Amino acid sequence: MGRYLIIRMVGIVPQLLLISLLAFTIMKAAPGDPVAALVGGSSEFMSEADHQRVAHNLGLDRPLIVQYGMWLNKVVQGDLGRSLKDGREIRGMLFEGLAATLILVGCAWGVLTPMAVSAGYWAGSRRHSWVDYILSTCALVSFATPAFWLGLILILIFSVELDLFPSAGQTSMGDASFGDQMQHLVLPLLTIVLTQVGPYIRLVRGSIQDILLSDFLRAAWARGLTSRTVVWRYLLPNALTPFITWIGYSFPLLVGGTFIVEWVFGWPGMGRMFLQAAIGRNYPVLMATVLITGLLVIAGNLFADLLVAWLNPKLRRGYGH
Amino acid sequence: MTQTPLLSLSDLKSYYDSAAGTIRAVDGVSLDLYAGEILGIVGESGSGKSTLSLSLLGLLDPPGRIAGGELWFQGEDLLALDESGWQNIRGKKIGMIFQSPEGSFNPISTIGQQIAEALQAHRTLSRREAEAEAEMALALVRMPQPREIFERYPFELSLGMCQRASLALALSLHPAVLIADEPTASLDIVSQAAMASLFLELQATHNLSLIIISHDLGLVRTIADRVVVMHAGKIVEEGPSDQVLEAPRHPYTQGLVSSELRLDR
Amino acid sequence: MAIDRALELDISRVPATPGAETLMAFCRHRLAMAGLFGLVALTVLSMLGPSVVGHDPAATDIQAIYAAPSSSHLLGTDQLGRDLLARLLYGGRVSLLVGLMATLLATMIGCTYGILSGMLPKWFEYPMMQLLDALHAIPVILLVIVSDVFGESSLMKMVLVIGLASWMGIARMARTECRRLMEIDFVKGAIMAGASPLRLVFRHLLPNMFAPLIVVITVGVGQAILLESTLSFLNMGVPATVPSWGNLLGNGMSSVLGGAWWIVVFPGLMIVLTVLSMNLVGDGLRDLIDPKNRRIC
Repeated sequence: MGRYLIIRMVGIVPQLLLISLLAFTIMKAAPGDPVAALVGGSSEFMSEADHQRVAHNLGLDRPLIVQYGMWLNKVVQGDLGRSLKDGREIRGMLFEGLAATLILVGCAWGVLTPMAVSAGYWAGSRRHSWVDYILSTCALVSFATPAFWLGLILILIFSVELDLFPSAGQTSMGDASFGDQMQHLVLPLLTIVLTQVGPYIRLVRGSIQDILLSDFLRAAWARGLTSRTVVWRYLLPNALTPFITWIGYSFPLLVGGTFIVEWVFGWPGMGRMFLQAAIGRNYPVLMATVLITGLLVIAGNLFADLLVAWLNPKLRRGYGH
Repeated sequence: MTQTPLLSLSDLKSYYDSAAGTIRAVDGVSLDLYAGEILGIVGESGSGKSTLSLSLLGLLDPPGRIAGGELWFQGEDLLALDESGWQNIRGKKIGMIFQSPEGSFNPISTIGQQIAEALQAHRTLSRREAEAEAEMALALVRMPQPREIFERYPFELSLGMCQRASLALALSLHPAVLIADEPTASLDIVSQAAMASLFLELQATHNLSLIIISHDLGLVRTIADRVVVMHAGKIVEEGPSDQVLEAPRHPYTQGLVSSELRLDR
Repeated sequence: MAIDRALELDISRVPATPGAETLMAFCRHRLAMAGLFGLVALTVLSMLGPSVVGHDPAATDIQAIYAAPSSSHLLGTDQLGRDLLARLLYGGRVSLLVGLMATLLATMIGCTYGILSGMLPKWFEYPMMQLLDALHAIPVILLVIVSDVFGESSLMKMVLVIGLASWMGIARMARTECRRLMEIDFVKGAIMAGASPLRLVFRHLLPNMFAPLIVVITVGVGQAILLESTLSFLNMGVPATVPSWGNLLGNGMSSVLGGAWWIVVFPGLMIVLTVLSMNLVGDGLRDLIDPKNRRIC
């Protein structure tokens, strides 16, 4: 376990480097004069010497690598700059956004997992039956449906036509009760789950099928174990390892999908912040959201990997991959 | 032997249905197994040996099915059993060990846990009792450090040790009949020899009836009392092992025996 | 001995010989055939369709703004009174083209990267794989949108952006396949016989990777179409004047709230059908390649 942990931790370094470089590039590639931005949008009235002095103080005349170091130093201390749009401190905005996003992602996880495991088990244990065909096709359709479109369709049906659920926001104006929040959660959550569940179902189905045909399961039956023991101690635990690996691996996909859904439903999360920043060319916010999203994904990945390592005796006992 | 057979098959048929037609893997096999006997089943690849052994435990996966015939064990009609009836037979009355040693165990559970689990499935034992018996079973198959093996995962054992552990598991349930499907095929030559002598010794001490399925004629000749030769789903020759393997009458058996690599001929 | 069990227990139904028999097996795969049929139909429709419909996709009609589906406009019209069916079929060309081109680009990058990392010595492969892993940690949509923020939008840029953001999966597959093939005797033999690296790649590695490659390409085109539509929906994709499926959905929100359901429903259905067909074909091909599925069906 110790060796695996170290290898995994070392693997994070290039990920962190890459995500920070991407964020730094956004800042450097952003059009406009940083000096002008600092003094309030225009540097017309500055003398050339003053301009140079400010640029020097900002470190803009240093080599890129030094600028990157300075930028990183600031970021690590939590200074992410201010929004170009309203001058708000980005750090505060991010916390709110991250919380809203985590609610969505967390609930999506909570719904996806039991849904995928039961549907995948159902289809996988009845290979080539009608149930299998229908569930597999549903999984493929889910995989082929754009999240933003399904969101629009759900709004059309449940908000516009039936008027059952609100179509936008996290809470209603002046009402922040639990029930109200739940109502707002339904449609975005449904959109994420329905468009993400496909690969999960297929994965569980596949590994259930593999294990059903495996030698050790046949051996388990030959020992006269009850079907309950076989399913709960042999079949499911072994099928779940690839499932959890996949949860970690597909975490970027889940976060990406959540971002689009946040946009469609006006959910005040990181995704909406990110897309608003991209559309409004709000570079500091863009940089900050990219950075935090990257960190979120890396953390999620790591968590899933550690869970797998802990569940897999081979890794737990330090036998490598 | 005039006693009644322990296990009796008559005209047993196991078929696989596929789009290309029905494959008759076992096509009318009649066979008796008596208490304390070691029966060898030999035959080439695809002759239906493994399908036959799985049929004896009701373990044919669909699209495989038992298409006809009778199967009796200690006066009980096995083909009339439901799933929970089979559970009482499997392991407890008829044990089985398989060709692939590492494929006999759940990869994410320790050897000891799995033996204890099987014990608890058939008898009411506390966890401690089951674990103590599991350790004894491991000692019985001459595992050097049973306590240590108990704590190990299947991937931490060599193939030979794994196969012995799976034998320990099967024997811990005290079955009347043990079916061994190619028990030595995946092992190196030293483990093969150790396995063969272990079979002989345990059969004597446990008064076990043993069915050994193999295409290793040497192994069968060494330990089996009686041999059945299968070809294309049917039994083509049957008799005491030295007689069948030294002086085969059926042309197929003659071919099989003469194709064996032997230094003494 | 393993073969013994394989023969005895896994009686193969699908013949292992390539060529005509594989084709037959594919034809028996009902879902895959449905997907193939869908793809052919969609391609033919978007190639020939616009001329058959009888409406110019760009012609506006102030008399018929937001007209519901009727006999004159089968799928209704949009906010400028343009015929939705004509725009939909015309948009198919754009979406399919962008998807295809972007995936082609991704395949070229991915294969080069994957084969290079598979053939180069270990110490070089390690950082290459680390980079691949690191890239994986960034959601594709993030990469695409960030690169989209810079520069003017055009079809070419869309192809570049999507292609550059989606080659990682292909690279991973190419590397795995490359490593696997390098262990097989005929490739080892070719290396020992002194085959040049280029010959090795083009005579031995690529032809043997063809089958899994086709699978990832089919699925990749579907994913590229999804990406394109998402970007265009956000008004960050192909230029607004080009009627891709995503662009048709661009002002979907106001249409939905205004009750003009047809503007949202039909382009989305086209996307779903296209990507689904791609995935069905990809699945069928995967079933054929994967020996696991050659057990008794």
